[in-house]
Amino acid sequence: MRQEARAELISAYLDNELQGEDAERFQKLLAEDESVRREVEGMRSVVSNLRHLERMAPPPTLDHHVARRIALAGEHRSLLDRIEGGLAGVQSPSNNFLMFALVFALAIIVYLFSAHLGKDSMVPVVFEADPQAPIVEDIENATSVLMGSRLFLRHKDGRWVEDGLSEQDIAAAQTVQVDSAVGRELLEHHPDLKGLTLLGDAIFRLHEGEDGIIELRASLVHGPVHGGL
Amino acid sequence: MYAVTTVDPRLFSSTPDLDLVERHRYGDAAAFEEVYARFVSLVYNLCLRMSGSAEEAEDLTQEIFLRIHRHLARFNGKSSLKTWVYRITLNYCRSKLAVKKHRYPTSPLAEECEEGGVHLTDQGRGPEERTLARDTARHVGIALRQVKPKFREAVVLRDIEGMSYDEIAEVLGVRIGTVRSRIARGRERLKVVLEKMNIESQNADSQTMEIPA
Repeated sequence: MRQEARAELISAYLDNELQGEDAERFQKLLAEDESVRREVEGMRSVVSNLRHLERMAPPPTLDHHVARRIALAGEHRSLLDRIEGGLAGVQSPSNNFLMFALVFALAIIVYLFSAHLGKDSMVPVVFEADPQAPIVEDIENATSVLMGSRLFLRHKDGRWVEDGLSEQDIAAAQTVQVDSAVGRELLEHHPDLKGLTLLGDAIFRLHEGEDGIIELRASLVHGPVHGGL
Repeated sequence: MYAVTTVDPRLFSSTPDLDLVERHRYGDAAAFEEVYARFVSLVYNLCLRMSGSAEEAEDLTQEIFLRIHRHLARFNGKSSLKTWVYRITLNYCRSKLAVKKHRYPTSPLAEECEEGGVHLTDQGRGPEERTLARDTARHVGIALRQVKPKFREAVVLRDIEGMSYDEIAEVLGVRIGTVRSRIARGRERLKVVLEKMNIESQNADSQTMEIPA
């Protein structure tokens, strides 16, 4: 008999898992063969040592660490819920909503990729500062803003225009992509922002108003800004 | 005259599990606390035996409870909650330890346990008994780490957790025959390693005795 098969029989015998013919055959072998008896005793000793191993008490700090990890995860989740809830108009995300968010995010990726491939398919962006809105220092002093991979320059007339775009391109503007650092900061200070979704490192928003104006909320760029179609 | 009705006992045993899960789904924080209190020792000790390091067991336990918290609402009661927790624990340990190729940790479990851990049954023992138990635990702990993870987990579930072959098969998702084979191979390997350790230990003792005073 191979050693592996023998060990399996001995192990099963010690666990009372041998039945019928197997049990009878093994009992016979045990009675006849001294080496089998020695092997049984050897394995019995191993099993006994294992069964006498004591349970260790978890470290006292574990409760605190687990509670903290869960609380942190909860905070993160509620932030995402707020963002997603804002987009879907509901407080808690459903599977349908998550699917919608995924399709939406993919659509934006495809769009950005196609925009990157050629000017013809590019749907660029232009923002014009709302003269009525209070403009905070950050945006007032800025001459350029990097939004994702796209660079926007501030013109002398106050408009924000994507670098390298013609007036025709500007007229086709439909989407807004905000730099991740800016977006994160804004979310932190304005947790009730609506209509945003977080994708990778960037925050995206797509909204076309009835009057054909694409609106980028003021809090996103530290001051109300509008983009025209 | 009395009517006798036989009721499947599983109906009773599964209900508290599902009640807990239902309460968790509705945001009752106390439900998760109950789950944590019930399984923390089990998860920690399983991680300890699988990783061989008290520090790593603590990290693994944190991660595992984070996953339990996240996925508890999806528990459907097809198995017991205990089986489900075992499965999450072993899956997570397996994936983490495979990534780290963590076979022979540098800080032996037993030494860490002696320094920082608390033996749950130490209180009722005399000093000699305690020392002997710790020596054995140290040897078995070291030997256990030299057993392949898939055999180690079967042995741990059977001989330390005291599970039946059926329960182990359910947790590991394998057939009873596979469980039987893995337990046997794990024990066989342990026997070889422990015998080798005993011989080395005896040699070391005899060498120490030969050193002139």
